[in-house]
Amino acid sequence: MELDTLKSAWNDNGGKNKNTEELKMMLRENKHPVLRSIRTQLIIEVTAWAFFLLTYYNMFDGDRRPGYSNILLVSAVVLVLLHSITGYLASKNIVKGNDLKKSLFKYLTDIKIYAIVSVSSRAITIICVLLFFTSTITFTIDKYILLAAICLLICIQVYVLARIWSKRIKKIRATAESLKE
Amino acid sequence: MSEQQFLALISQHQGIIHKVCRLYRNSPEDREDLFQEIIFQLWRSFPSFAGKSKITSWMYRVALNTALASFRKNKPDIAYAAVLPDLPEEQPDDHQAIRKEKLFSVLRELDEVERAIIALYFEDMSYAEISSIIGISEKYVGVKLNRIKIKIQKLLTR
Repeated sequence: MELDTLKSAWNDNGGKNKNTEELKMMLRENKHPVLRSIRTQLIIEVTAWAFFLLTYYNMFDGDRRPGYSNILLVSAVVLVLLHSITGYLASKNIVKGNDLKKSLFKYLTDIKIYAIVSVSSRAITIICVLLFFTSTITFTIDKYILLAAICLLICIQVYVLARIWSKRIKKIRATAESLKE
Repeated sequence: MSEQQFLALISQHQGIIHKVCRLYRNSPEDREDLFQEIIFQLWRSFPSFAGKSKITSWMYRVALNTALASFRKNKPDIAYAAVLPDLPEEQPDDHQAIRKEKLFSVLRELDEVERAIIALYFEDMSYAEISSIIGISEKYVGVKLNRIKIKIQKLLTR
């Protein structure tokens, strides 16, 4: 089997051609496979957090907790929502340069920043929620042990998230680096 | 240029997108998702297409960029049929399809950048055109292509 055979196989792509109507549907943002799932997640998150914000003050005795813990909790919710919206916008913007090399290096820079924001915002959010719920607790040894266990779980979750991002970045970096002369 | 003109252009050259999808994704579902993603990205970057390069070069640049940068699902490639067929599906050129898939599987063993370069080479693009799409010098295109050809020969003869 020669390179020419490979070339002829390449030129006979075999993909089923789509008609203009099918192509037109694909231009719509609400038909985009990735964006649609992010948007659904975003809608669920916004609804759930909005419900939480409307009810937490009565349900979790917000009035009896210190002001700073209320502010931290609301800030955490806003941070979660901002992070999700930024992620949605970033997913739309993949092509970033006039050639593949420039575009990949720019994408690499952006994804690194987004990964740092993503991991740190998750950590900050969890800390803020934890501070809110522990702000009025009188700690005993048992409660300290429970808090330590929760902190450990949080650390594991943040570590796993960081590893996922690290794998993604490593893959993009390897591809971009292979273009260096 | 209007949406209609854009669609006419894409419709005419959609073979490029099918080839890129086949080169970078294994399952039909992932190829379909990538196809849609590429069309969406082409539409988004269409206003910045100044017509300085050929439409096919621009399409390849955006399609390859999208294939390399977009996230893919990490799930096993399992397809479930809604209904079990009574008889095997008729596939007159089954042998040819299997052979073609084998050839594409050889290409998929190359790394992602190598796949991009060989795809452009198969399209009979000049070193200058490949260089401007990928963003490396013409000399380096030559070096890379030689390495890729040797690698392919090894893969084909093993």
